[in-house]
Amino acid sequence: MNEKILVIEDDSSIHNLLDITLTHHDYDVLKSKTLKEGVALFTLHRPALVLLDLGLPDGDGLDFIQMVRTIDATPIVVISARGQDKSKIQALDMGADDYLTKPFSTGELLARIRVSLRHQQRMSNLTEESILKVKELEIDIEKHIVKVQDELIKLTPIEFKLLTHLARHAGKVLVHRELIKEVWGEFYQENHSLRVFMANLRRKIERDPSNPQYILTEIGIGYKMSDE
Amino acid sequence: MIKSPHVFVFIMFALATLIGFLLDLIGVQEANLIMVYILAVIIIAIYTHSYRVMIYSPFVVVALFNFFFTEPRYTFSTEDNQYPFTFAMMFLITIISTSMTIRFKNQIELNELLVEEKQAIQLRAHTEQLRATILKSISHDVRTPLMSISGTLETALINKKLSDSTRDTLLSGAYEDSLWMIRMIENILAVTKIQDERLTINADIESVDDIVVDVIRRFDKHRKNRHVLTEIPERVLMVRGDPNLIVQVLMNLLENAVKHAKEGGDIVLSVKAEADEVVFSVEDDGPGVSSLDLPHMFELFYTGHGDGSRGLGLGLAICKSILEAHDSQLTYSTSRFQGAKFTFKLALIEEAANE
Repeated sequence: MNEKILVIEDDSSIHNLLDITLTHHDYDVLKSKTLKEGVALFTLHRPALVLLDLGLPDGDGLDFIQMVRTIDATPIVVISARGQDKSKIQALDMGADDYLTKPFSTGELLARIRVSLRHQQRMSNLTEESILKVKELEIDIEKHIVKVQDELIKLTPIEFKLLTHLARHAGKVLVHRELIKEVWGEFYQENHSLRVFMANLRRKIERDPSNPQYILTEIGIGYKMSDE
Repeated sequence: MIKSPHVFVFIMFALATLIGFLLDLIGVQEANLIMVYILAVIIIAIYTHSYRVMIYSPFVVVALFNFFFTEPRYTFSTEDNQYPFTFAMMFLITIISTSMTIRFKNQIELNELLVEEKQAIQLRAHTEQLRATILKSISHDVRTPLMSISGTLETALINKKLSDSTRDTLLSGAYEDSLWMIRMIENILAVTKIQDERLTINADIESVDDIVVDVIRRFDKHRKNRHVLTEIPERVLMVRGDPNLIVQVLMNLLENAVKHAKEGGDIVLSVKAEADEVVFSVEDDGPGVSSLDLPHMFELFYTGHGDGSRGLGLGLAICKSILEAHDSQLTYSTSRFQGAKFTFKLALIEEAANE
């Protein structure tokens, strides 16, 4: 059975484009142009993923994220206009998985959808794996061992914590604040050292740190472990 | 700070009286004691903003002087018939000096206001001018790619019998044009953003790594068949700036480089530390900037001589204004491949201690 994707977007052309592209790639598309209809379709059909435009005529897309997150962890990919970093961060903070900035290519869209669906599947396998694998990166959580292409990598405890958190959420954009909270705790304010740790981590696990295969930068927003 | 002006007045007069007593003890004449009180009144006028204080001060001064320093002391009566005249003069001098001080103070405040207003007007005029020029260029230069896109789509819609290859050629042309428009509109938005937020650039501390990673990933679909090589130092460097705008500068420089580099040629994006600065540069293996274009290349809407490619002449001008907003500047030199090299520097932020 095809996976259902709920598209909540009020602009007709983009709406049609998404519909045609997704149908062509064997997804079942549920369409909505308003927040209200979106909520109804969501509760009725329980789609595998939601594509959500933040600026809707009858309300704020952020409310939708909040509503969904009280029910379950259905992946939500936010569609937003350029320059709305604040609302992007807010959406990710509230539980959105990823975002696409208009204008985006359909290739980009399909890749994000694949990654988010995979992430969802991994998270629903509730058994906490003791070995995390992302492409050729292998993390043995119990033994504190990290390998890339079977080569042992020496990491500091903080680097290990960061890498594990990223790998566990591969495909999801993690905002700076969330990563800082995870590693240094709730009350740590400064996010300058996070950047330094990430850069050092990249130097250890990436073949080319300026064109990374694992840790991607979402500039001004956060980081994402790529598994494609 | 003292909250009530009246407390301040009390302290000043108490101080003046005390000094008066000290001067009196060492035999200074009472006429000079008056000066001490007048000085106190002027100080009060400078540091308080209360008109009530200004009005009662002269009375208090005369009363205090009369009470403490005229014979018979510690009474409000006087022996010498010269005193009423002294009091009147003292009263007048106090009033005049107080009102002069107030006027002087108001004048200064007014001047400051005027200067601020003038600056605001100048900034507004500058912004307006830039907006007008951008609008003009949009109406003028954006029509071409828009025409190509809408024309192509119309043709594809109407002509059902187009061969696949013709359709592909048409559509890929329109696609290229749309990509070009997206990049250009981003540039225009960047300019308006700088104009709006001239004083509050969205600055954050970012690592050079994050900036380069983001640029390389975003630029991938624009690089055509050119090779983009990166050189970043072993040491993690941090800079302060608006990350999106710095990425924009590098994207524009890379796009320029693609335009001028040889087919399948090399472009190098390199970053290095030099003393307390981080030096970013983009080099290509093209012909370099001709001497004709050198003096004008950073001007808005300058498109260069014999440059067949389409462009608004926005790219470099936008780089320049973004960098100016970061207290930096764009410089040109000859690259290692004898092509063009654009360089800018940002202040190096000392990195946090590792763990």
